[in-house]
Amino acid sequence: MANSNTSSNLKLVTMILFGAGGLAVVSWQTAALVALGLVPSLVLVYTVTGSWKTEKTQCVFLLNLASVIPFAYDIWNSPDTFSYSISNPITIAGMYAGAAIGYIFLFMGPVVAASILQILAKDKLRRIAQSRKALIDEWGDELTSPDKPKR
Amino acid sequence: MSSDVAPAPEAKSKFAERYSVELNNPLPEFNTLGGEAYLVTDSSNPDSQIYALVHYPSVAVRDDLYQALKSRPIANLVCPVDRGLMTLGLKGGKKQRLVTIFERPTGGSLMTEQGRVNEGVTPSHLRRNIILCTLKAIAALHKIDQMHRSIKPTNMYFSGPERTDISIGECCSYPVGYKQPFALEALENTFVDERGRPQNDQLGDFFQFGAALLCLNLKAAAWQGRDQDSYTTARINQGSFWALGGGQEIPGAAGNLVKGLMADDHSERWNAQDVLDWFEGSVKPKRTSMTAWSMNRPTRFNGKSYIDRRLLSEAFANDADLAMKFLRDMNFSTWIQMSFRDEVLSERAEKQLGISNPSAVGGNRNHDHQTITRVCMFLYPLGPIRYKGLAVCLGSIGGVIADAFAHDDRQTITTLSEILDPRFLNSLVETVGARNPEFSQQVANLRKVGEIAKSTQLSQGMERVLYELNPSLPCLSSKFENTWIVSVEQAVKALDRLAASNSVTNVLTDRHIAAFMAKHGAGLEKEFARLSSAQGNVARFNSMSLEFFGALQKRLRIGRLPSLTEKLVDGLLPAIKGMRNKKNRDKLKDLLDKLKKTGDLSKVSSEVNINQALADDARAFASARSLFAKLDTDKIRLSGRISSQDPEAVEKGIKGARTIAFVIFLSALVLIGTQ
Repeated sequence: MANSNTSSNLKLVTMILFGAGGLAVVSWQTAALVALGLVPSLVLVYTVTGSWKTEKTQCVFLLNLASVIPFAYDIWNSPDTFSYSISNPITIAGMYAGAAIGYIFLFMGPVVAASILQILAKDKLRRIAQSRKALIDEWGDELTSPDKPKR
Repeated sequence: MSSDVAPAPEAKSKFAERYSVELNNPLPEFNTLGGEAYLVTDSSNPDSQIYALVHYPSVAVRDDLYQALKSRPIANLVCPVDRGLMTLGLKGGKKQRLVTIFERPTGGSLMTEQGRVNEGVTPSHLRRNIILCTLKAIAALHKIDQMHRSIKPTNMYFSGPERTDISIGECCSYPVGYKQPFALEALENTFVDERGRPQNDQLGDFFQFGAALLCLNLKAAAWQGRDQDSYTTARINQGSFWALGGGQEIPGAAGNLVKGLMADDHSERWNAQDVLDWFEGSVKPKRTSMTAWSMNRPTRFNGKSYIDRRLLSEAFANDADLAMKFLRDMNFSTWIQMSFRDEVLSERAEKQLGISNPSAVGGNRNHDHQTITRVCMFLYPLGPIRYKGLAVCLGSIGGVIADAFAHDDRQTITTLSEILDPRFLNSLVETVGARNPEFSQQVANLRKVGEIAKSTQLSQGMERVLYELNPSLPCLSSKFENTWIVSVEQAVKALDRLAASNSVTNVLTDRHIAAFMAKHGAGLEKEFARLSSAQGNVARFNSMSLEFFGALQKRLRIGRLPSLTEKLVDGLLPAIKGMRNKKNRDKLKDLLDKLKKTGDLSKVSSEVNINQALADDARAFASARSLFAKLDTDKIRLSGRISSQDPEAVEKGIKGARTIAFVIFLSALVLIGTQ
């Protein structure tokens, strides 16, 4: 599991580096902005712990990328504004806010899921009770007693 | 009457409709060891002179002789006319019995059991008619390779009231020589148990012929009131003629005839040709030889001196313990050399006899008895196997077994099974060797039977030996006390009648029924082997019993068996009660209730495979248990509060978050793309 997560993260890093490299050939300003904007995701790649590492990284990366794209689009259209944008705290905060939302998603997801599961469990319990009753009706109380050879 | 007995069938057969047996009119003069005689009326021919013999179940009949005589009757012999099963009101209630209809001689027997001679018997009549009639009957029987061996004055009758021709009584209702008076049997046959005398002995008929003529000449029942031991000694010392006649001479030619017929030496005994020669007046001088079985010097045993090997053999057998001590205390080799100079006893043969076997001294009593048997056979190789008080001839051991079973004589049955042990018989073959080649053949014929006798499996054992050696014997199971069962079909029908009032679920564990069916039903051996293996499992055994009878019903095309079907199906109910699935159980019960009304066991067994159903039920129950256990686990798991740390919540939460992130990412791309 650990090896597979590491390999996925490496793939992500490699993908980002290649993407940024490719972009740098066309517009180095856009590439530099994207690289700067994706720093939280890169940090997560190396600091993520616990289970579901890949899913966590993907979640933060996708939201981070979604918040970087509008700024990168502006730089792509007007490369001259690169210095202004990079020095503007709003731009930095905007790009990093996506990653922050990703972190919030990771925290809230299990909480929301637990609440939903709790609601679903009630329905499952009702169906389990029905199945148990049907089995006892079919096989008798012996089904509930310890295993004994019947004479 | 025991309630566990199959009732006799009520339906009348064609035979029973034709003949009416008058049980209040017995004819004791025609009684035989095989049955009782009664007056009978033939509705097709009311004037016919016939009588009915109601057979005893424990005595085997001579089927081959019956068939031969029925198809081609012999003159001067009481021949059978018809045979069939009939339900009769005998002592102890209604019983189905085999009844044979015989021609009835009406002139009376030549002599009563008390020795009163019929007035029609005169010396001239004896010479003119009786001798010739008897000879004709014996010769005709021998021509079809059959023996009579029950020729005695009480069993010879004037054919009609005019008292001219005579007829010898019937001999097909009991085995050859069965329980005939020892005094009227040829000497070589008297050493054997009266229930199983040697069978292939035509000269035995001529001896009996001579003995009967002697009694008629002397007008005395000379065989009555004899002590067997002293009489046998007298016969050996003086010859049978003088011993039976008590020293009385029969004057004239008749005396020569009787002496010739009663010669103790086989080679000197007269046969049919000799009797015809006698008629023509060319009498050949005959003299009895008494030297063949004499020892060179007498042996003193148990206070008596013996010179005849046959008598010494008998004395040893009568007191085996003393004989064993006697033989061990003496120098056996020296005794043999001194007493039997013309016989060389090798060291190997001496060892084979087993007298000085140190491992057995003071130990195994069976071994001692077997040793004495070997010594007896060494002394008299043509004699019977003498073992534990029995003296049996292998060729006719079936009669002894039948009698032992009829009297439930377990000790004799055990002794007989020991005799049939192939290893023991092989040791006897070695002892007898070339001196009795017929014995080796008999042992070879009984090898398979010996293996069966040892087996304790259902359908095997001594019960099976009984039916193997007495194929015409009906099934002797106590359940068939009131019925005469000679075929598997009859047995199944009788069990159906029995089932009307009794449980028959364990009927196949009855060793007689199992052995009888295995003998008379082709291919049933394997079925009984399977049943034998299921004896410990009641449910399986009952189910297999049902299948067994179902297969028989189909194969033998027996009609409906309503009672048997009902009882056998009821026998399955305890097994069905053991089924755990209520629905399947009720369904199967309903199906069986429906099927048992059909009386068709083959249909029940083909539509219901109870063993399969039980196995399926057990398998399904195991699955249901594991499913129930899983539901229990799920219930416990789901009953608690689900926290955000729950692995499932974590998994679903993170995966859900990623999905939403992906949707947002795509939305961002779409928005940028549309600008």
